[in-house]
Amino acid sequence: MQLATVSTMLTLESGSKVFQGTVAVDAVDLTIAEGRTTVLIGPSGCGKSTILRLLLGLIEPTAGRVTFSGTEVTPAAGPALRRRMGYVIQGGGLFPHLTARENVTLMARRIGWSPDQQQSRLADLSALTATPDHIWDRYPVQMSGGQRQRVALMRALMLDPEVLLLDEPLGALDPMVRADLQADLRAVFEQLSKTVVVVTHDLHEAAFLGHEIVLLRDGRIAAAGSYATLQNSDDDFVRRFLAAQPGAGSQ
Amino acid sequence: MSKRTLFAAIALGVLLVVPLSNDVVGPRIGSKKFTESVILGELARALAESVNVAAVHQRELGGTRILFEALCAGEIDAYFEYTGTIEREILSDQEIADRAAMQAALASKGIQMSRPLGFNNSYGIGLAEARAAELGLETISQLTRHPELVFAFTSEFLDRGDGWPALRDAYGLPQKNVTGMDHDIAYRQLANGAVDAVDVYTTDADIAYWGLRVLADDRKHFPRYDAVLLYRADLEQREPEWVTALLRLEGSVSEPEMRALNAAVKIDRKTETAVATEYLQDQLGVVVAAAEDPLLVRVGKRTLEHLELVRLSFMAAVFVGLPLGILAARRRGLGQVILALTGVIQTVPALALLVVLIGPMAALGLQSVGTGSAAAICALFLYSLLPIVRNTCDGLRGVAPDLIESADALGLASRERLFLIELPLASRSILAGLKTAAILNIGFATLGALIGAGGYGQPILTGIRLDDYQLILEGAVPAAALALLAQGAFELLDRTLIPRGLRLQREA
Repeated sequence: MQLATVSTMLTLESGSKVFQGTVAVDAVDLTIAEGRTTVLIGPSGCGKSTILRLLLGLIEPTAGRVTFSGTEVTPAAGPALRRRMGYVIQGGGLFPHLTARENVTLMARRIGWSPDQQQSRLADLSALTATPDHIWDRYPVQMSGGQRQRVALMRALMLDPEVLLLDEPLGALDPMVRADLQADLRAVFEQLSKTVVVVTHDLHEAAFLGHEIVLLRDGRIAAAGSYATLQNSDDDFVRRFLAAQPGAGSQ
Repeated sequence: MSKRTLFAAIALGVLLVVPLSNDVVGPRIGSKKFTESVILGELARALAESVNVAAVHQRELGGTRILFEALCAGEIDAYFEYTGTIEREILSDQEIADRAAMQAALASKGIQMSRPLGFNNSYGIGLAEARAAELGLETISQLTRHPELVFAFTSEFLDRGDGWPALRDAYGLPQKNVTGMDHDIAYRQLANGAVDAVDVYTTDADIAYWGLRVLADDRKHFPRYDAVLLYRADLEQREPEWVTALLRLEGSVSEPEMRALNAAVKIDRKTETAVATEYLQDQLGVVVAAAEDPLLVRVGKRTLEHLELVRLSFMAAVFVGLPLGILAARRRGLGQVILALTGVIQTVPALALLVVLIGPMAALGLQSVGTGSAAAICALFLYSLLPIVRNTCDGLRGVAPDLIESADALGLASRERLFLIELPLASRSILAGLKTAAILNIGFATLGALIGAGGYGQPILTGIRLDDYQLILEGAVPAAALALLAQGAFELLDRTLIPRGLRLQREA
């Protein structure tokens, strides 16, 4: 694979986040490459979800800065910038008072897309995510967990964002649905060749989805690189983390 | 906006804008909250009718201070007062030597006083006949022998210049167990034996009705309470015929006559209107049709008055309460203050709140007492705030943080997030608050009758005064029905305004 043309989409430059005296993220330098899938992984409390929120500008770094396509992410730039990013929160975050269609088209309607434009985008998205049409008029409470995740993914993709960020996208699903959706997700990422950041605690998922894997520990980067790089690491923590989830990467 | 939402919005708009009852036109006579005053008020209204003046009787507005202030503010044009009350209460800060001095003092406030109507309605201390006999009590000075007696006096009597404190000092009365109580309730307590003595008016039919013995004022503490008409000086120019007709009452109502009129209402259960018209016909030869509304018309009128109070106060509470609730949810510190303040308002007794509000409302040039009283509407507005503010705030604070984060991540601006996401998600809680406020408001609005604001409270208060359960039910039953109706209406509104996805969520 040619790596020479890879350019930078998102960066965190010595970014720190302190919550009420507790350091969640400690001077992390992170570069998310365009068109690649980067997985942030680590034990719970390692700061991976906080980094995702920093990248989105949902929270402000205590120190350091975030840039997106060369622009600094600030609270003032917030809403406008976030419309160029797609975010799937843990659990999907679908609005229970809106149907699948209303959830997915919410922002498109706000910025004045025509009904035809919306409809054709919905058709593309349901084809992409293998979602049946009958889902569109259902409310979240009427959908299965897998369906909700697909709708949440479509909502994030609706405005064709430059980057897609997912926080534990498969976290709450049962194993069968999880395996299906995992495969579908990778297919979607590959088809769109988008910049993707995924947060997970699951090594199988990281190995399956990620071009780059960033292993975090106590708010710092413990290791970064491809799964193979990590496997060859002689760092004690990395070895222990990998050993705790045997069989990863054996698909 | 869906069709149903649009329909609901239009219905609300209509409810807000269309006036339910006409503004009061024509000159106004006021009356205090006891039978005699209401009968005199009806006499005055009927006399106006006899000279083709469409005067309005603002019934049962309250006590002396409310009536006199309403007269000075021009909210009423006339009412009947007693000379002793004028001397000891209204002009208590001045030395009044004789009637000429009294007239001069009143004239300086723009008020005219008629000659006495002819009867003296003094204060007295009344005991149940059996109890008085058992204790051997005939005079007030004998009360010094029984310090254990329990007294229940009207709040006005407890407070007046000629009332309890002066009486106690004049006779050296030792009783310590003295409580304030509504007059009509005090009579019942006396009949129950819960209290031993109450203050009475000597022309009151209640003395015969409840079988009371009135103790002699052997030290002549109480002055004469000759009934007189007080009216605004400008009324003579505005309605000269009415004033002439009213002054025909001077010297024409004797004490036995007044007692008989009071008894006709209290004991024979005739209406004040009927008693007044009969009297005018028999004694003054003035023929006026006793216009009594049939039950349904009466209830209909009061329903409109009641709805007017509820509607204006409730709408104001919605328009102020929702933004306050939103503010309280967004700014924690300020929220604590807002919730504490609206909570404190709830603890203020209704009568106190009403009376406190009369002054500012009159100062604003709003009608402070009587039908459609701005003070009553303002009090109801304040009482309705808490459930609306609290439920709006709680509803918004209860929106799941991940949904807020999703909204932010989508790039919704703060305002869009509020209207598209947070308010719909909080709608169940907000509507529950509105429902509570509306139902409370309908109940509280009956208290508006304490200052003559009309509505269902009026027959309830009159019924208590006349010991007439049928009349009490005439107000209580429609009030309860209206509350149930409001409950039903809000359940329909729930189906319109709570998003379907949330209702499904509850069923799931």
